[in-house]
Amino acid sequence: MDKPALRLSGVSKRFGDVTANDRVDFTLFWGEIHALLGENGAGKTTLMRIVTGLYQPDEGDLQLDGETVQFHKPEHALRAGIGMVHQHFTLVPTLTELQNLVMRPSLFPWGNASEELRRRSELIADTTGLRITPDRLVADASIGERQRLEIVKLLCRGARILIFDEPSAALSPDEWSELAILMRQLAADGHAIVLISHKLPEVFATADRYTVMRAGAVVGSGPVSQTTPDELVTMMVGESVPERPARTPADPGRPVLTIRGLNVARDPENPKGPQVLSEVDLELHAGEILGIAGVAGSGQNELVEVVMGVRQAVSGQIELIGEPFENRTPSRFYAAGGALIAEDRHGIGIVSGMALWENITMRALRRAPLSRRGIVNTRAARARARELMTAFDVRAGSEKLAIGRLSGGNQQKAVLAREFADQPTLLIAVQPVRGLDVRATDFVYRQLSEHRERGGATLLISLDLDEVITMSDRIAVLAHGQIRGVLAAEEATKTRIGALMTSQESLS
Amino acid sequence: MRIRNLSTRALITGGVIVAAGLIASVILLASGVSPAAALSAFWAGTFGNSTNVGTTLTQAVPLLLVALGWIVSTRAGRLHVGYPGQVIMGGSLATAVGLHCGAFPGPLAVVATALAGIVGGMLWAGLTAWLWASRGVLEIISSLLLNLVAVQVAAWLVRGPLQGPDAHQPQSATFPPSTIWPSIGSIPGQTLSADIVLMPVCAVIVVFLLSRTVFGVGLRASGSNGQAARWSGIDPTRSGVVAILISGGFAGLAGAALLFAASLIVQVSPRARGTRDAI
Repeated sequence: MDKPALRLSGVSKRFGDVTANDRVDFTLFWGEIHALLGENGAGKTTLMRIVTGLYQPDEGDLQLDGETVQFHKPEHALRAGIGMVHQHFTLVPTLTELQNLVMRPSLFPWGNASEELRRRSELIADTTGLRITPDRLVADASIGERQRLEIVKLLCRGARILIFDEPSAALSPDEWSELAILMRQLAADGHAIVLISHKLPEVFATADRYTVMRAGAVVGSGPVSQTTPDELVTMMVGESVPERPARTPADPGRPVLTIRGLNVARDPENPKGPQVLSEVDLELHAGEILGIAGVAGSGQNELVEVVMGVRQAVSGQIELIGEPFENRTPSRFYAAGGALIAEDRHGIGIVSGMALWENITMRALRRAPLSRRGIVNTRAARARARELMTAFDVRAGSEKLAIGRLSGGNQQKAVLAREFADQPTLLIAVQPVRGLDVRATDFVYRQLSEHRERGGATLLISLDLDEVITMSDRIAVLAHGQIRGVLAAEEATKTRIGALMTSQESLS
Repeated sequence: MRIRNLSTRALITGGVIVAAGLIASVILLASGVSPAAALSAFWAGTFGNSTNVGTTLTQAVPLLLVALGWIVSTRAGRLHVGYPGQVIMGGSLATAVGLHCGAFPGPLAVVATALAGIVGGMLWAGLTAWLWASRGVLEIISSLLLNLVAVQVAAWLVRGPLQGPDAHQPQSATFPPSTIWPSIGSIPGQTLSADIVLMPVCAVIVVFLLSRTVFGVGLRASGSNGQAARWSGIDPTRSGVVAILISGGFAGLAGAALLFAASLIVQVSPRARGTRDAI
């Protein structure tokens, strides 16, 4: 516990005008779990990319076991025993777990190391309890199992320092507690572990020490046992987070979205097959937030797809702002006053290769005044984007940057800027704060509340019960494709919602 | 960071050129030719005198047109390889039209052949686009196979409907002089065709289309994230179809340029020059 594994002193990294890391000092000891905390864009990922050789620091040096080292590419860091478990796994799903271990850079490309790696993975299983199923296809493994394989892969390559980048983002609570135990075992075994996270309960449950970063610099560091969650949050955001504005009582107006008797087949090719949504009735009024609570895969995604017109319904009626909404397409949804904050930001919400301004004005630039007769007025569109960037606090050097280069929080703010730009009547928000830090989360919630104050209707779909309960006026519980009940906010508790989720017959 | 990337790339490009030069020199030396002599002959052949400069530039036109088509199609995420076939079909339709345009005044005949080339290439690309959009046939496969069909169609045309007066030669008749695209007279041999103006004009059109039009923004969105495009109300299939058609139009125009620009003797033949030039 007292021998430093890795010591960073005065590490700085700049990208153009942006200082991502500003003279960072960071010490990691053998046998500890060290939590690296900070908001989105605080510089955690940049720092870890320096440690793993993806970036080279502009200033400062790295010491590994007391010796100064320089990594020019990730292989150097890996060879020195530093490995990173990425948020998005780096496995080939069509190969078996063992083949994924075998596939690695090697000195002699013709050798086949499968037998050696099979032995080594068994050895790792014996010492750490990380057991893999060598001959199973990765495609058949669960997310938790894939993460385990990712760790074994690093251990097989001799990693002694393991960096976990927000590991719980992809895991179920059970899988996370299993991983937490494994991390403790690895630490007890003498490995050094860095845990990048912004979930404080995780940090207090697993980590020995913490380092908090803000705006590229270290603002605090010490043993976890001598701090409190409040203190850490204050360090992360620099000031106390303002409370969400107190709720005015709901003043529901005219119905904005009415769904009656909606039936949707699980497989669009087979409308007579099993149903993913059956007999769904929902009514959402102006000026209210209707929360949809339910475990993952209860039919939430399909509900959004049907309302947007991306998926066909078998039967049922949908009315949008008092008008029947037939022949649904995304364009008609937006034209009718709809807006969408999609759950899958990278897959659906943004086009990461395109400029920030193009993403923000993606829909607006198809109409006057940003375009006339099909010709885009780029100057006006960029000015509009800059305006919205200011209003929604999107921090970026220039609106011409590719949106994919922004931090997750700024990307989501850009999505909000686009969706709120035209004052929508109906907003569908799916997991709108997923992967965001405290401050960005607060920003999103405030925007949702303001939308409600303006008389907008919101369909809030989330897996996070706390979120649904604090934000919604009414809560519909969705389980196995059926609405099991609708509760008013005052009477909604986790227990009641949980009971509805697991109940067999529906309430009224 | 960016500057370093740029210099690295310049170094790599430079290294490749040097390495290629070295390898070529070794081969030349082995066959008993001085590399310096070969290099000066190479230079003289391409840019040595005004006639050669004219020929080089004129031959660059169809290549650049095909490349522009490739850019449009690839930006929409549609990777097709049907350019040779589209060049042939553009050339064939241009020939068919050109042979009947003898009576037209020059400018009209020239425009007619160019338009016919564009339409021919678009029609041929349309097959690929239709198969992809309605049947889900991978555009790279269908376009590749349609290239082979296009060669056979051209071979049939010059033995049948388009065959010239000499019944023994699979060739079309000589084009009427009014259809031949103008060339710049002051260059000896008139080898510099006026169609080189197509290069800057078409390049500007493509840049404008992609960056300044609503359609171009949708096209790029479809190409880089089709799902996101669809969810924001853009039809990625439509973008893809139009992009393939546009690229076919460029290839067809290239086919017309190959036949009608700066040359009085080329006829459509089964060994159409386009095949070699486009891939």
